[in-house]
Order: sequence, then structure tokens, then C-alpha cells
Amino acid sequence: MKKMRIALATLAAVAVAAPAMALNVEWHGDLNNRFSYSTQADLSKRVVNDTHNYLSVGGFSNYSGILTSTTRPVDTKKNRKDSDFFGEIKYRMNLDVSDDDKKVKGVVGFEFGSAKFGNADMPFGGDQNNFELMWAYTDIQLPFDQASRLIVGLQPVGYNYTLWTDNAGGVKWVRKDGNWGYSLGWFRNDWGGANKNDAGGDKKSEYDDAFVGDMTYTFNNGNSLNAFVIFMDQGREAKTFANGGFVDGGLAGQITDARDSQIWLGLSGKGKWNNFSGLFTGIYLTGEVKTKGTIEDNFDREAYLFHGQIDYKMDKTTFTLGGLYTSGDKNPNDGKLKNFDVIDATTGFIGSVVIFDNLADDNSFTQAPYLFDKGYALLYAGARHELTKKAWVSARYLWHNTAEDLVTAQGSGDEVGHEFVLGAGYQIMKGLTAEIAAGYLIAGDAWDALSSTGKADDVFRTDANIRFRF
Amino acid sequence: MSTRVSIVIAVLLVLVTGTVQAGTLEEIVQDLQPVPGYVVLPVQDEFLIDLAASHGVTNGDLFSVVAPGEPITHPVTGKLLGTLDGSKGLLQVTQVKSGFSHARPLGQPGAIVRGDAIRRYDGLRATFWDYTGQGEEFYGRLKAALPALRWQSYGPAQAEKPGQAGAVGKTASDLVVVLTARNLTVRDASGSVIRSYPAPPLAAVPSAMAPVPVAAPVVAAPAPVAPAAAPYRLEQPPAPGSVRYEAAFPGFQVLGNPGFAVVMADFVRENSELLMAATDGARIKIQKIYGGINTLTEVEVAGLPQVVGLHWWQPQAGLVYLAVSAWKDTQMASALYRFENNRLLPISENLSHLFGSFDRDGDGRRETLLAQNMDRELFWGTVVRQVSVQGNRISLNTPSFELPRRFTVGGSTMVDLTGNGKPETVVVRDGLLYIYAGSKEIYRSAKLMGGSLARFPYQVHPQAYYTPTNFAVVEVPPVAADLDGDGRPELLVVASDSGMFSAPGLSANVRKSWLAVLKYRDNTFVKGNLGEEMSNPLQGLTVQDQRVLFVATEPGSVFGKGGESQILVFSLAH
Repeated sequence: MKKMRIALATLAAVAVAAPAMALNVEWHGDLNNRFSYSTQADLSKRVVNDTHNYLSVGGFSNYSGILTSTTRPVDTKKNRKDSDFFGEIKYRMNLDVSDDDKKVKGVVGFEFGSAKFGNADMPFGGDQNNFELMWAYTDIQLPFDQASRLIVGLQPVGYNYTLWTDNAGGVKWVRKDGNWGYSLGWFRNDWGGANKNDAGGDKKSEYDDAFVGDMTYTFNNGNSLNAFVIFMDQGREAKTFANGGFVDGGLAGQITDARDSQIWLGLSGKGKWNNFSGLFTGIYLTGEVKTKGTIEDNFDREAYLFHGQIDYKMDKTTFTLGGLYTSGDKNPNDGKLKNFDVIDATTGFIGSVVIFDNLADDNSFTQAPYLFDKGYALLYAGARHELTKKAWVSARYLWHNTAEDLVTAQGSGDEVGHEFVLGAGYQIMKGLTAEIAAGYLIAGDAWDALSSTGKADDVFRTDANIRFRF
Repeated sequence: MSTRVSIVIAVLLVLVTGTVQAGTLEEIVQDLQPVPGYVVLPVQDEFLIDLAASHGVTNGDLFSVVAPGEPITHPVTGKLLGTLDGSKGLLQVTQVKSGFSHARPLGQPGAIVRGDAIRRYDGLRATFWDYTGQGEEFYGRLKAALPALRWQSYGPAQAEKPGQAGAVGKTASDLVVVLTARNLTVRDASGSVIRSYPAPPLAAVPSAMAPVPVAAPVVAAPAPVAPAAAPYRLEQPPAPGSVRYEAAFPGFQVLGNPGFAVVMADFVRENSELLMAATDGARIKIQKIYGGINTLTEVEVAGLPQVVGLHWWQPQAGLVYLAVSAWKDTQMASALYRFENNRLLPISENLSHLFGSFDRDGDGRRETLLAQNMDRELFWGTVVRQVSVQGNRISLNTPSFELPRRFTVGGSTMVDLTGNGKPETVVVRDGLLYIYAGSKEIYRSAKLMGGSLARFPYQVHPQAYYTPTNFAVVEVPPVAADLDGDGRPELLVVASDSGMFSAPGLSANVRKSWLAVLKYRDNTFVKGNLGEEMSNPLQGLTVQDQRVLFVATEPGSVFGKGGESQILVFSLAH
């Protein structure tokens, strides 16, 4: 509540002060009301987390507890009362204050939610604590180089949609001139909530530093290529394992400390050629994890990701064909970590309803483009048809697989299943849309392995939203 | 019969009062003649009628729907003399198509059915508001020439007229004719202009009510460059002890209604015809502008994107292209068409660029087409290329001239304002107008420029969880023309006053708009205004044949319903 008061006071101060300072004040919002129904609503929550580093070493993994616990949080077998429905708000607003020439821009952004109707954050009467500072940054055009901007503070990050698209506190220098654009950035992340009550600076074991460089070349026809490198290191000291958020007691018992250093080298591109358009991303992950304890070793990281998609536009219909592959770790005893790991990714681009993010994001089975450390292999094809300028329908088929067999006590396999998705949307007015998408997953053997009985049930899920963006 | 009598009377009036005044009278009498027709079909909230432009029908025209009355028969012969018809409703034309028109009922439409007879400007209550104090005689002639209208008497009409011409007054009439010193307008009961004419030269008409000369305004200081002929007023500091020049400027005349709410329009002269490309964001209409408006063709861009920019391009004489900047979902989806035989033929669609066309050599033909990439963070990208077309193949090459960093292909023009033989680049961006010599900024205006409805919000990282919402605005390009006849071009720019606090992705937030003039004089730029302020955004601008033409748009509702535009004309001839 205190945060809320501070935020409102800031907004009021800016709004009052702005006229005297001859500034421009823009108000932006993304007011997202989401609804979802599933025959297995226990799977409509984060099971695989994008910010979690999945490891399997020495025959132990740090996620197997999810699958074997007596209070099993994941069961792809449909149980009694599994069918459920929720409504949720996720409201984001930001205030941009800039000078006339937009040489300096200050941004403060907030998120109210995510809060489901009827949960502790939003009972009858509302007014609970579900407020988040989303952005607080200053964007400055450098006075000695008009092509350069310096962005300082808690800012949006959008390096690559498969790897890191979220917010981060740090400093970023961006320069765009002609066909070339490049940037350098430094960002710092808390390590598993370890710095909840401490400031960083003397706790190098408890935060990640990320150093980023990227370079974009835009061709004359508008197509572009982007190359990037991200180095993320835990710091000089080893990380105390107990604070790492690893959930499996078995692995925790083997390792007391772990230090993770990762380097992502990526190349992505997008382009249009007449009625074709496409995009791709290829990322190679290297680095190492140093462990102490019963298992004391240096484990090399060696993993990769590839995503590609081609769209073909024919009059009012766009056909889509795409594929995603993230490598998985097949052998937990070979001293190599071959599973791909993301920083803070999104999966909405895939178009799945049952497995990945869709209209009610944050409530998907996996937030990362993989399942645990088993990677992912996905093919999808679909079409979207514009009924009118404001109304559209879509259909998509997805063949979900893990890159390596998912092995549990109940079975093993790599086929998650076949998913069929139908969707429709309508633009009510400029910025305001209503959409619905429904997916049906025909369970495969990997999905069966995630069940308590060895035989999973098919899943139906539908997401909808009414979203106002301005 | 009454039609013939009216025309005969009108012709007689012409002979009596001289050709200039008669021109206006003749035009209005011709335009308000009763025309019979029928209701064809109810369509949603409107009706189709069997009359169109070929019958002289235009947007806003009013029709009374005939309620057949009792037959009138001769008491001796029993011959049917006629019927005692009444009116069971009014229809107002909203859209004129080829062969039929759309009309909306004014009031309850319940009694109107297919097959009902209709008559234009027949039986309507009409009133005449005279703001000159000299128009009574003209009123009398008009009344005599249009006997089908039920005219309110002159005196009571003046008593009920609002204080200002153009204001909506309380009237029981269906039709209001408003006479001012500037023009004569025919309006409906809500005050919307249906037709507009030059004011008849009343002073030349012998009248018992001789006009009282109006005191000439006090002029602070004569402008050094052709001040007497300049149709605009420049901002000048008043000399001590003097009164600032505040002469009233003539207003605008309505040329016509394009038939939808225009968010962007561009004009070109081709084969001595003036063409306008206009869009409401969805459709593109190509219309010929003469004394009225004639739609030549209408298209929707492939994939139904939101059209935000239109630019005519004439790489050589006789070759005309239309470059369309458009947005769809997460990316640009622009198109280039060749205009040929009154049709738009697609050269390429689904393009990633924004377009702008420029007349760099000042010959009146925009021979240069530039394409700019869309940058998700800046919107106007840093890659600008010159377009050439061979057959249906588009080539993009580095321009041979220097461009400033803040250049945008939309809302820009290139013209030699300073007379140094090199065109300057003029850019309207973020409410400011910049003038560059090469890449060097030589002028920056106050934040009063632009204010376009052609805008849309977009996500900077469309796939991301937390992504900023940015917005894009495509402004109307400034126009260069020698407005005061001194041999040097001035710059005519759409200007507006918008609120400081805004949600710019949704609304232009324009409180008022006007045409600003920028003139290079004494090694500096002096700003002025042309004409009057308006409450609507201006979405297209050109200067042709000593006339300034521009498009004023009343935006529709937030749900995209309603809204309309008017093409307005300001004469530069004095």
C-alpha cells in the first residue's frame, strides 16, 4: 500500500510539474482481463519456470521432486475436480515524460496484478497488495552523439524473444545509425530471492551480472540480422545451494554450492519477400557449472536453440509453418550439461494453448521453450483468416515433443502430444480487442510419463481475454 | 410545372440583377430544385433511394417522404386534379453511389417503407439567416425561385438567428440558408453545411437598406513583402502605441464530402485534372476534384491493413503511382500502386517500409519517392532509401542528397525556402516543425504543428511479456506555394493545439487546428496563420490554381462509427 501511495504521489507530482517544465506527458496502458477454462486446471500454472536453471548431474536432477512428491503438484492424469475456470486481471500502466524533442524521456511503469478473481489478492472488496514496479528508467540522447542513447534504470529488455524479453535493472547504451544498430548493456539479477533484505554490492555470491552486446544490420529492404552475446555470471564466490531454489532434495543433498557461468551466442533475423515473411533464431549456449559437495566437479554447458517460422500471405489469409528445437540433456552422468537454458523468455509466439503461453499468459504449463532439462522439438502449422478488418479466425496444429526422452517412474517417452488450436478475435475499437483460443491436446507418451498412473488424459483448455492497449 | 416556373423566374432574375449575383442565385436554385424519386430498400438504419449524382443529388440533401393524401376531384367533371399529399418523414442523403444513394431518416423511420415516393427539397420548412443586413432582397428572389419550400418570413427569421454565423441555433425549420459577407451556405437543422456558394455581391444590388461602411482596421505596420496581396497574416510584434493587425480573414468554402471520415489524403494534378487519394484507414478512394467530387475508384489494400499514409509519386510525366503506408498487427504492410485508366494496379504489396514523395526540383511534380524502415523503438527508422521502379520491380538505392537525423518520410517536404538554390528539408514530427539545410537544423517551431488522425499504437517487442506500447503518427506533409505572389514559396502547414497530457496511441487529442504559414524573410522564418481556426483535425492539404484545398475531418466514435470529412477551399485570388 505504501508503494501505491508513493507511485500515485509520483504521478501527481509529474503531472503537476510538467506544464511548468514544458514537458510532454504520455499515458500508456495495457489493461488485460483474462479468462481460462481447462479440463485439467492443475496444469494451468507454472510447472516449468523460465528463470529456473534445470540440472541433471551425477544421476540426480533438481526437478524430479515435482514428479515424485507425495503431494504431487503435477499430474497429467485427470483427477476429480480438475476442471476449473478462472478470471484474472493484469493491468499495466506507464507514464512517459519527455521534452519536446524527446531527447530525454523518463518512464515509470506499474503492474496491478496478476490477480485472479477470488484469490487472496482480489477478494470481494479488492484493495489487496498486488502492485508491482515494472519500469523506472531514464532514456537520454547523448549530447555529443545524437545517434546514441543511454538508458538507465529498471527497463524493458528485448534481446531475443526466445531467450530474454522482460525487465531488468541496469544500464544500456544503444546506437543506431544508417543500416547499423548496436548496444552494450549491464544488468544485475537477484539470485533466487537471496537479496531480499540486503542491498547488492558486497554479496557477489547472491546476484547475477549479465553483460550484453548486440549488433543489428538492417538491409535496404527492411529485413534485418541481429547478432548478440550475453555473458551471465554469478560472481566470484560460490553460491550457497540452499538459496538456489533447486527443488529436489536428492540433488540438494549432493551439492552444497554451485556457481553457474553462461554465455549465449546468438544470431537472429527477420524479413519479407513479397508474400512471404519469416524469422529465425539460432543460439549456442556454453559455459560451466562448478559444484561443491558430494558431487564436486566442473560441468560444461553445451546446448543450442533454433526457431524458425515462415508465413505466406494469400489475400486475407496468412499461412504459418514453424519449428522449434532446444537441446536436452540425455545423459546425467557424462559431465556435460546439454540442455538449453533461457534467462527470461516468452513462449506466446508458439501459439499453443495447453502447453505454452497463450492469451492468459503466466498460467501455462511451461514458461520456457523446453520441459525441464529435456529440451523440446516442436513443429507447428496454421492459418489466420481476416473475416473483416476487425475480425479474424485462426487454426493451428502443433506436434509437441521433448528433445530427449522424459523418464519417470511411471514411464518414458518424447512425444508430449498433438495439439489442435482454434481461435477468433475481434477489434472492438482502436486498442481494444477481444480474443479467444481453444486447444485440445491428444496426450503422447511423454505426457503419460508425467501422470501418476502412467496413462495421462487428453487436455482441453480455452483462454480468452479482453485487452485494452493504448 | 413548378420546376419550369422556378427556372424561368431564375432566368429572369439573372437578366435583371447581373451575372455575378445571378450566378449564385442560379446555382442555389438549380441545386435546391425538387427532384422526385422512390425509396428502394431499407438497409439497417438507413434507406436506399433511386437517385444519385446524375440527378444532382449530393451528400446532405434532404428529401420529404410523401404520405399520399385524399384525391382531389373536379366537382363537375369528376376529373382527378391531384392529391392532398402530406409528409411522413424526412430523409437525408449520407452517401451517393452510382445509381442510388444512402439516406438516413431524420426522426422516427417507422412509417417509411419500400416504394414510398420522395421529393427533394419539397415541402420543407426553410428559413433565411442574413448576417449582412443587406440580404432581404436576395431572400425575396430566392423565395420566389423556390416556391416548393415553406419559407419563414424574413423578419422573424432574423430575430431567431444565433449571434454568430455557423452556430447552431434553435429553429423549427428543416433547412437554413445562411448569408454572410463571405459566403452563402445551405445547412440542415443541425447546422451541417450541405452546399456552399460565394456570397452574392449585395452591395451592387440597389436596395433601400444601403450598407453602412465598416471602419477599416488599424494596421500596425505594413509587411515589407507584398502585404496587400498576402492572404495570410504573419506574427509581428505590435509597435508601441499601435493596434495589432487583426483584420478578419475570409473563411473557407465547402467543396464537398468525400463520403467517409478521411484520416489521410493527398492530391496530385494529372492531365489537368486534380485527383485526391483519401483513406479512412481501411479503404482508399481516388476522387476527381472539380466543382464537386467524383469517385473514380475505390480499393482495399491486400490483407486489410490500417492505412496511415498516402503519397502520389510521379517519377516522370504521365506516370503516376500511389505509395501507401500501412500497418497490420505487428508490422508494416505497405503497398505501391500504379494509377492507370482511373484504376489502381498493384505493383507490390506487403512491403516493410513507410513512404513519402518529394518535389526536389520545384517543378510541381513529386519525382522522388523515399522509403524508410520501421524501427520498433523509434518507429521512424534510420534507413532511408530512394525508390525506383522498372516494370513491377522495386529498387532501393542510397539517396544522392543529405538527410537530417530526425527525418521522417511522412509529414515532410523538400523545398527551397531560402532561395539559395538548394532545397531545404522540412519535417513535422512530435508536434514540431524542423527545417534543415542538409543535416543542419536552421529552424524549429513551437510545439503547435501537425496533429494527425493517422496513428496507431504498437508493441515494441510484440512477443514479450513486458513490452512498452509505443505509437506512430503520420503527419500531413507541409505544402510549398507562393501564396503572396512575391515569387518565393511560403510553407503551408497543418497546425494544431493539443493537450499536453495524452494517450497518443488512441487519439490526436486535437482541440483546434488551423493552417500555419512559414515565410523566409530577412534571413529568418516568420510564422503566420491562414484563415480561421477549426475544431477538427486537418488530414490533407494542397495548393492548386490559386486555391488552398484541405480536408477537415470530424472523427467518428471510438467504435469507428460515424465521422465525416469536408473538403474545404480557401481562395487565394484577390
